[in-house]
Amino acid sequence: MKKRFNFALKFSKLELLLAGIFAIFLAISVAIGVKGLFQGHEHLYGTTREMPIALLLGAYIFFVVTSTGLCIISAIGHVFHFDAFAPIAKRAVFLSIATIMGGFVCLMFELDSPWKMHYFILTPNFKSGIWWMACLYSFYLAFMISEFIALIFNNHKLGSLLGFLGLSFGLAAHSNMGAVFGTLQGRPFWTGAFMPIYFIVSAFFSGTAAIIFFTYLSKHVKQRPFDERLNMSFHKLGWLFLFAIFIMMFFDTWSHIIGTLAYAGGKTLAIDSFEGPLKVNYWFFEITCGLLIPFIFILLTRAKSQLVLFICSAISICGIFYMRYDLMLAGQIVPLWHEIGASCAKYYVKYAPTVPEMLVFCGGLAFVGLAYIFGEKILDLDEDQSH
Amino acid sequence: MNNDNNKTLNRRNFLKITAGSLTIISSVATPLIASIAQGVEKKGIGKVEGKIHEIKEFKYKHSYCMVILEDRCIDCERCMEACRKTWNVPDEHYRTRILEVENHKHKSFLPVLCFHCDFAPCVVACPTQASHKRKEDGIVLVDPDKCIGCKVCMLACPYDARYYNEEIHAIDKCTFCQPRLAKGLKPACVEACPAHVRIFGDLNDHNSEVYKLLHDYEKSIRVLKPEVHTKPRVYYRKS
Amino acid sequence: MKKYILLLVSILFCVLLSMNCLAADDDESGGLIIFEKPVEGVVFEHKLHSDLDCSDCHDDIFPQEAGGTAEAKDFTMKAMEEGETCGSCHDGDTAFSVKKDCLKCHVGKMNIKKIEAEAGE
Repeated sequence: MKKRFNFALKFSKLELLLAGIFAIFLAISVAIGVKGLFQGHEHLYGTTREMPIALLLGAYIFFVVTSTGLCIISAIGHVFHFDAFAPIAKRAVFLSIATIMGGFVCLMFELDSPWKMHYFILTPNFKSGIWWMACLYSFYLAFMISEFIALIFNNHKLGSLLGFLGLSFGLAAHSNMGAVFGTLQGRPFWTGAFMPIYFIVSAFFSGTAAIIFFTYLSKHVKQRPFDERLNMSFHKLGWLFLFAIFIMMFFDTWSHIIGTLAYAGGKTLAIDSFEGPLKVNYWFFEITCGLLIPFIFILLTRAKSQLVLFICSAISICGIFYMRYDLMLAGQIVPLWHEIGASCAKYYVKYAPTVPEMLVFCGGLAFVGLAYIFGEKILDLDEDQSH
Repeated sequence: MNNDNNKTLNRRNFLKITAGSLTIISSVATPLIASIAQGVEKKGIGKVEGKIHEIKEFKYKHSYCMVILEDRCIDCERCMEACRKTWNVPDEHYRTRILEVENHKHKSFLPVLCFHCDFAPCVVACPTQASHKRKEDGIVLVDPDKCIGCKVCMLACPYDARYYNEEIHAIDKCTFCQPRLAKGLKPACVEACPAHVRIFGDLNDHNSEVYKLLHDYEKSIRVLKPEVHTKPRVYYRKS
Repeated sequence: MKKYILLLVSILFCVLLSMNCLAADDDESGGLIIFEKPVEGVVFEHKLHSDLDCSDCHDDIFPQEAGGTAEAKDFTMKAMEEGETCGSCHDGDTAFSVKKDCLKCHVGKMNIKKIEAEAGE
């Protein structure tokens, strides 16, 4: 019987260094977060009355989108039994848990007074998107963790069922998060039924990028090359990633065109004119890094080169982060009283993330990094061949 | 030879049958179809019509609202000071403010505050019901004990009415001076205004100034950002 | 000889001292006045009234001492509408009526700093 856990850890010097750096960043971010809970966020973070939601919530959404996407990828292999994607599914389940916990690191330190969260259960508001998001994500996390435990014990039937439940709750929770923004009538950039759908599609995109990134890394962390099945799976993942990029390009193109023809309240003003404050974020990071570079290079190499896939996924993940971050900023960047003609509302809302904010975000990333290194070393994240 | 005969017979029969059925069909089927069509139209199958569902009127014990006479404000900011002093609003924040609006070279000052909307998006967004609308008078309040500081209500509000108050660890905003109303006083900003810009009252009282101002059919009344469909309870008109 | 020098110096001193009254204002008339009483956000520009003589308003309609008008009892909109203080001329005939164009004088508390800076240049 195969060993389920491997506690005879062998770290290379680089891995030790990285684990150490991650641990330090995580400790710093927790310290900053706790300081923020006592001293308040006004002088710690760059958020203001005009822009109350910024980097940290963008980071949370980035992590959660990736987590839901990884859940979708794992479900393709485990729940819907597409054998081509079965080898990477276990790692995807583990990473979906790790990324959402990294997201919670950012979220807990973003909320101004989280010690009152028990009122979520005492006096819930069933009309609130945030409430449903919190409720459904709790169930999602529970199911994903139980699925992973079932997979550790090789109970694939139970794992499949739990994976299905995790997928259902994950899709519901993630579209509710889109709905949090979609129901905000006062912010025309976000209003409408587009947000929930866009969130699910971008989850699929983020998930494919993330699984390619981490599966490639596993070659080096485990110091073991891919076997035949994993090679095939990785190649197919490359095509799936290309497909996801194509869908995102479709969504982005149309939201851009419609934003220029009809008023889209904010992002279009901030981006389209090539003079807006978000122009670099959008044209360089979101479009070039996030979509164009991976699309071109994966197509050119026909998804055959694993190194190219890895680099493209890494570049794409940078772009994806900016997609989430810009989504936050663009909805608030045009002041509320701009249309009425107020003299105070003639300029875009100013925002710059402070160093503490960036460090808390790094803490979230550090958590994911640490969890991955230890998970890859201790647990067997490759799919067991015996089923 | 036999085949030819059969073919001829078949063709003749075919012609007979065709002619016969066409006659029957045209004499019977046409009026049948016509009457079915008439019946369908009478019953209105597939028709789309109906009266538009009216949004219900809210019945409050005290239908508090404010009317702002927008051409009288001189930005002396006494209302902001009074509000700040009464409710310990931190210096860098405000519960009510004055906007300077310039349209076609015509400048005016516009006081804005929480509009206590009938369809308040902040009440829908709050996950813990910290932001709630009172049933007896429609005032939207924030319960500081329940507010977790997620700030989604700040995003939801189209009117920049809310801010996070670090001293009470909760979201803060205009309350129409609800504790003062309970004592029979007017809101602090209304009392402080020297130019009779803010008029506050109960719409259920048909003798109140707000009722008379809103039912003066010579002047038009507007609300800010009607396109967000929040049904605010603060109205703007010229004096 | 010493006596004449002493006389010359004292006359010069008096002349220079009296020049203070010129240094106090940025132009020959009263300059920019920012009222904080009875309400904030009100400005009065002497420059805009340069076609009048000092005696046209001082001391009959407005006291000349600094801060005197702000304390005056007839410095209210109601009194102005009845022809007191500003209303003596701003009645709609001599100059624009106090009942209209409020924002010409009531520039608003938020604009005071900007106007002060502009007047200082």
